[in-house]
Amino acid sequence: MDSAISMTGLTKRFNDKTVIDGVSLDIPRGVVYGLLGPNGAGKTTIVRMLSTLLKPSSGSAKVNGFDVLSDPIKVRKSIGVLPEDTGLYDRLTATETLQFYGGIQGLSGALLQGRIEGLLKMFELYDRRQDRVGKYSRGMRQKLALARALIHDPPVLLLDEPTLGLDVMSTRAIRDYVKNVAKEGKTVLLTSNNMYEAQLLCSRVTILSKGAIRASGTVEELEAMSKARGLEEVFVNLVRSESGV
Amino acid sequence: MSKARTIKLVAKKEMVDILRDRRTIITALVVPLLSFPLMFGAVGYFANPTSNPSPVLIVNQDGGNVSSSLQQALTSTPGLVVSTRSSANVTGEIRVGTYDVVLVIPAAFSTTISSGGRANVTMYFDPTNGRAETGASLISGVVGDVSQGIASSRLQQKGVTTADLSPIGIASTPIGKVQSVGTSIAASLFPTFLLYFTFLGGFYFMVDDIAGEKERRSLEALFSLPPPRSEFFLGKYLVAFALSMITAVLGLIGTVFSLSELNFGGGQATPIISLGTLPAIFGIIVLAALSLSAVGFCISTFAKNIREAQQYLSPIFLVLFIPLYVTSFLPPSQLSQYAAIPVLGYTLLMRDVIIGTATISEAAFSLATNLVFLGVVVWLGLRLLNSEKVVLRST
Repeated sequence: MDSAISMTGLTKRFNDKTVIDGVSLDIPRGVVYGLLGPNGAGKTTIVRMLSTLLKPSSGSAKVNGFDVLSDPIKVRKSIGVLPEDTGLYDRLTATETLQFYGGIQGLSGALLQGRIEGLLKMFELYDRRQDRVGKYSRGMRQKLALARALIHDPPVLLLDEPTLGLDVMSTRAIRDYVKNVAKEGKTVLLTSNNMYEAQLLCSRVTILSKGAIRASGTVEELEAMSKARGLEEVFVNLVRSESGV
Repeated sequence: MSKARTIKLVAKKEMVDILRDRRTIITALVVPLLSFPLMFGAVGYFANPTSNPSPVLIVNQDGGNVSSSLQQALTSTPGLVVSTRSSANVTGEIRVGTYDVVLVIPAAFSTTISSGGRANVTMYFDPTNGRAETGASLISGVVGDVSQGIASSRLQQKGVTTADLSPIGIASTPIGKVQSVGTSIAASLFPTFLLYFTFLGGFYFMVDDIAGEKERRSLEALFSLPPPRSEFFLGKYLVAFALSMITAVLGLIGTVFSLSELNFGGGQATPIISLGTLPAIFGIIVLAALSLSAVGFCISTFAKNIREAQQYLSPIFLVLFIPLYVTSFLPPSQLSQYAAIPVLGYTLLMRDVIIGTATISEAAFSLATNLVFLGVVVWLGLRLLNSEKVVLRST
């Protein structure tokens, strides 16, 4: 069975600066996969290349079997993206937001309405569905952005720091959803700085630093490899050794 | 999903979003419809001596027949409301504002004139008061006429004729199309203000559009959707164009109303733009709206954020007024060649359409260069929208 996401020698340069340096990675279907790394490690750049916003300078990447360079439209149909910033339209209501994104994804009529109602209820936004998004709290906005990513029921989800800056209740709601989503056969690529979250949600993780992979595996494999206890210790050891600290 | 459906969805979303912004409602709908009627209405009312006459005090210290004739001539002059006294605190009356102008006719004025001498009247007014300036000008005219009448009478008595005093006369014969004052004003102001309104309509949308999406970081989610960026471009472009057209049409209605019904210029109210020219003007505005929206879209896409987009877009308003100044100093025969200048040339083409001197070759040349310009700008807009460097920069 092919991978949900595969990267081979994926490289991205901005002018002379290499921000992603030959990343090769295979992410199987139906898992929550963690892409971890300190700020500036290149996590967001990888998500942007997988969502076809950025073109790789060299190497290749496939999402749901489609190449990001030769089949960008099919790639975009296969993914739901939650960017680091929600990027919602403040003057639209939650319902209008999902109607717009669902419509662009090709949904319409009762199917679209059903999806909108289901997602708004699932994320406890249904009672505020007619409120403009500008009046929403950060947690509500994040949940709505996740609902937007899910509106077309994509097989692959790219979640960039999904719980960053959220309160406890919103964080819990999003984590609960991510935990369950893999059971439905979806693949989640989750970037995070939060090692507790990664340990809780991800079946496998890759630690990225300065645009290159430092380690990949299950949490247990990484603990054994770096002779540390807990993902946070593994991460700190790897990043420190990389920085020469 | 069909291309048309994406464009429609994007356009609908943008329209709902922008029309919930009070700034857009005010700039796109209220300003163009009301600004000209209000501006010209106020100017027309206050600048017209008939509706806003100047209060004048004549301090007649003479009481003779010549001063009485002068007083009578001033009283019957439209635009002056004349009061008469034999004495007054002249500067006090002006300072308090009871009178705009005080005219003092000195004692022995009539006697001096009747005996063939020269006598002066003195006018007092505040030159910073525009209505007083108008009043003083009317008084000068009346005094000049009365003085000339007395001079003619004196010369006749001495056997001197008008030909003796002014041996060379001037007869003026206008060549070319003769327009009413209203049409001339319309031909010079109307195209510039129409272009201004056309750009104004889409201005806030264009500022808020791609630059605003960059600032709010909503482009990433939008461009992660399946349709190609050209379809998002067309949807947004359609809205910028629609807003520009709405504003232009409202501006057109407001301007035509102002120039015809509000009697701008103080002349007789007459239709200043022939109805037959309106379809051609509308056609030019459609093309101008397409070009201005495309230019605005390019700039908004290039800008990092809303503030930068505003800084880049605002000077365009000033550029649109350049033809208004230039055309005042060039003969009409030399103007049509400038109609080929992209966007600004539409001003000259509209002017010639209103006056009735537009030729087919002028229109064809202007349209050809403008369509090429439009194509280039749309191509540039799409190219910018597909540029990683341009689209993802936001700080």
